[in-house]
Amino acid sequence: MIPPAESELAKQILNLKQGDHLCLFYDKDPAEQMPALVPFIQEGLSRDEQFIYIADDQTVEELTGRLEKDGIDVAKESDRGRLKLWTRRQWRQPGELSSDRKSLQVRQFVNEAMGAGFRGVRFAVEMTWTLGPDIAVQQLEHWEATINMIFVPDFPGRIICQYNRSRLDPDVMLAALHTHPLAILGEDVCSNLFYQAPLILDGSGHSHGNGNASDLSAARVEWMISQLKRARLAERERETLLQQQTELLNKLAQEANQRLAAIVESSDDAIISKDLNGIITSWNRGAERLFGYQAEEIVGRPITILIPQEHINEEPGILKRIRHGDRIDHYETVRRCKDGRLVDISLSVSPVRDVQGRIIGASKIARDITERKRSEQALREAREQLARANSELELRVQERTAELAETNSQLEAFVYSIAHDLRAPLRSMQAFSTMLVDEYAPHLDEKARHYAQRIAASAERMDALVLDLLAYGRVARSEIILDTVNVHAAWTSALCQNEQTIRDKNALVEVTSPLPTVRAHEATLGQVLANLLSNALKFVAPGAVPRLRFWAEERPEIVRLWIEDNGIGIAADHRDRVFRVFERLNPRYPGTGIGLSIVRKGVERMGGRVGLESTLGQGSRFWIELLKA
Amino acid sequence: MTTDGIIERAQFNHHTILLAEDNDDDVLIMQSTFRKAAVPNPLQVVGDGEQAISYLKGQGQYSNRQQFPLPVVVLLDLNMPRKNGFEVLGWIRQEPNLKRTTVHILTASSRTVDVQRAFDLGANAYIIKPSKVDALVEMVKAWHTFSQYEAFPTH
Repeated sequence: MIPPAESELAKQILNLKQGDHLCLFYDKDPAEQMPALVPFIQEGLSRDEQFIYIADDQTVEELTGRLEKDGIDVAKESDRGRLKLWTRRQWRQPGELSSDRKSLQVRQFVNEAMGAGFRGVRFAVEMTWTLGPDIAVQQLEHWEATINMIFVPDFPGRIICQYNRSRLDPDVMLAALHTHPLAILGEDVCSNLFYQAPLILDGSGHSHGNGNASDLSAARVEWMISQLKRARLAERERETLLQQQTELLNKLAQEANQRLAAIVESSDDAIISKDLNGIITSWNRGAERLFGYQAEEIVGRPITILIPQEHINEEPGILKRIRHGDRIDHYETVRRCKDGRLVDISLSVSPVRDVQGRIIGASKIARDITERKRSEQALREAREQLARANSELELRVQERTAELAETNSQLEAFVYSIAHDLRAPLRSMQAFSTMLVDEYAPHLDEKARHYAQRIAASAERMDALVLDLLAYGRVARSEIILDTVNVHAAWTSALCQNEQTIRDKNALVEVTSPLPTVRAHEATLGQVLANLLSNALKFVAPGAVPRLRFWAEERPEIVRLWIEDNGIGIAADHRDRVFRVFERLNPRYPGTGIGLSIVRKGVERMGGRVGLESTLGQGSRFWIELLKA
Repeated sequence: MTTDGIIERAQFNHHTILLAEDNDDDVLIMQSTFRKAAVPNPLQVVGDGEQAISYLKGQGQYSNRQQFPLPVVVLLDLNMPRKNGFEVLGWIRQEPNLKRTTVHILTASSRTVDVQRAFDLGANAYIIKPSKVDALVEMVKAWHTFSQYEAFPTH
C-alpha cells in the first residue's frame, strides 16, 4: 500500500541523492517493503531513470501484483524497458560470487542504461539470494563493500538492499549493518551509525586478508570517533535550529499578543477578564473610563465590587453558564461605578480557554447604554403623551359629535314642531270648507261651492308644500350612513307610497328583475324613488294611461337605475333647471317644485349622481347612479 | 260606573267619551264628525292637560258626576298646554282607581318617538288623524263600531 503522498517515509525517500546505498530491514512479509519501495520506484520512473528490481523473497508475479495495486503500470513500463523485474537467476551468474565480476556487471548495466538515454539507474535487491549455500558472510561483506566503492556521491545510480530478518542469519544482518551508510527501518531513513568505511580489500576479495590488524582497529577507531563527532554536530545543528525557531515563534507570539493587547486597550468598550472565582484578571482603558477604577486598583479584586445589591444574584448564574461553555449575549443590567453612580450596561460574556481547551475564566465586554436607555425612555414618554393626546382628542370629538347630534335633534324637533303647527290650520281650512259644502249644500249655489273647493285646494297645496319641505329638510340634514341596500326593497316602498295614484290612474309599471344591491341609505333611496315615481305618474297627457319602466344598468363599480315614463317630456333647455328647488316647469300640473330637488339632494348625499334624458312630448328617462355594494 | 263586570255591548253607547284637545277648530271638527258618524255616546271636551286631570279626579266643577261622568274611553291629544298628553297618560296610569282606563291617543303627529313614548306610557291605541274630513268620518264610524265590541275594565 502506498502511504499517503506526503507520508514521512515517502518524503525521506524522495530526499535521497544519487549514489545513495541503503539497506532496508523488514520483519518477515515482503509486503512490508512496499511503503518505501513504491515512492522510490515512482520517483525513478518519473525522472527517466531505469529501474531494476531483483525479486527473490517474493515471485515476480507477486511483485507485479503489488506494484500494480499501488498504481505502477508494470506492463507499460516493462515494454518501454524502464522497469525490469528479474529473478535470482537473471541477476546472478552461476558460479561463485565474485565481487569484481559483479561490480563490472553493475557498471555495465549503468553504462548501457545511460547509453539508452536514461538519466540513471535504480536498483532494488531482495537479499534472500544470499541464502544460497555457496555464499559466505565474508563474501557478502566484501560484495557490499564493493558496492560502496561503486555507489559514491553523484554516481548516476542508487541501490536499496532488502533484508528479511526472519529468514536471514544474524551474521548476515550484522554484515548489512556494517556496510550500508543508510538504513530504512520502519518509517524512517536513518543515518547508519554502525556503518564502517569500506574495508581494505585485497585481491582475494576477503575482508581481512593480510592487512595489519591494529591498523585496521586504528582505522576503525578513527572512523567511530568521526561518526560520533558527526552525530554530535548534527545534534547541535538541530538544537540551534530548534532554538532559532522557538525564538522566532516566541517573537511572533509576542507581537500577536501586543497587537491584541493594543486592540483591547484602544477599544471604547470596557473589556474585562476574570477567573472562575470571579476575580478580575484584566481591565482595559475602556473599563477605566466606564467604571472609574484604574487597572492597578481593581485587578485582583472580585468582580462583585461592581455589582449593586439588587443584581448580586446575577454573578453565580453567569459563572455557572461560563463553566458550562455558554456565551451570554447582550444582557442588559446595571452596574456601580467607583463614584457610586449606577450605570446601565449591555454585557456580553464568553468563556476563556487555555491551550488544552479547558475553561479558565471569562471575558466580559460591557457597553454603556445609558444614552440608549434615555432615548428609549424619551420615546416611551413621547408615545404615552401622544396616546394621551389622542384619547383626549377622541374624547373631545365624541363630545362635539354628541353636541352636534343634540343640536341636530333639537333642530329636528323644532322643524317638526313648526311643520306640525303649520299643518293644523290647514287641516281646519280643509275640514271646514268641506263641512260648509256638506252641511249647507241646499243654501249654496255652484259658485259658492266652487269657492269652498278652492279654499280646500289651497289648504291641500300648502300642506303638500309643508310636507315636501319637511322631507327636503330630512334628506338634507339627517345622518346618512351608507349601507348595503337592496334596491328592490326601496322600490317596493316607493310603490307603496304611490299606491293610490297607481290604482286611480290604472298605471302600468314594469320592473326588470333582478334588481341589484347598492351602497345607499334605504330610507333616502325610498324617498328618491317615490318622488321619481310620483312625477312619472303625474306628468302624463290628460287622460293618458301612465306606462312606466324601472330597470338597473350595471357598469363597472356603479349601478344606474332608470325610470322611464310615457309622459309629456321636458324641453332640452329646461333639463338643468328641473332639479332646482321650487322650480315648476308646468304649473298646469300640481306640485310643490321641491320633489326633484329632494331627489338630487338625496342622491348626492349618498355619493351618487342624477340626470335625465328627455324629448318634449315623448316621455322622459330619469337615471340615478349609485356605487355597487 | 256602578255596575261590576265588563261593560256590555248594548251598554256602551250610554257611556261618556272624554276628548282632550286644545285646538278649537279640531274640537269643532271632531264634534261635527261624531255627528256625521252618528256616534250616540255623550262627548265631553277638555281643553288642556290639567283640565283633563281635574275632570278625571272629579275636582272643582267636575265633582258633579251626574253632569261629568267618568269616561269609558279618553281620546287624548298629545300637544296640549299646561300638561301635555304624555303627562296626562302618565298620571292616569299611576292612579289606583283610574290606572286601567282605556286611553286612545288621537293626534296628527306620526313621529316615531311620540308613538313609542305613548305606548311606553301605556296607551291602549295610537290613532293618527287623517287630514281629509271624509276619511275622518269613516275612521270615527269604524272606531265606534269596533269599540262596541271592546272590553272595558270597570273603574
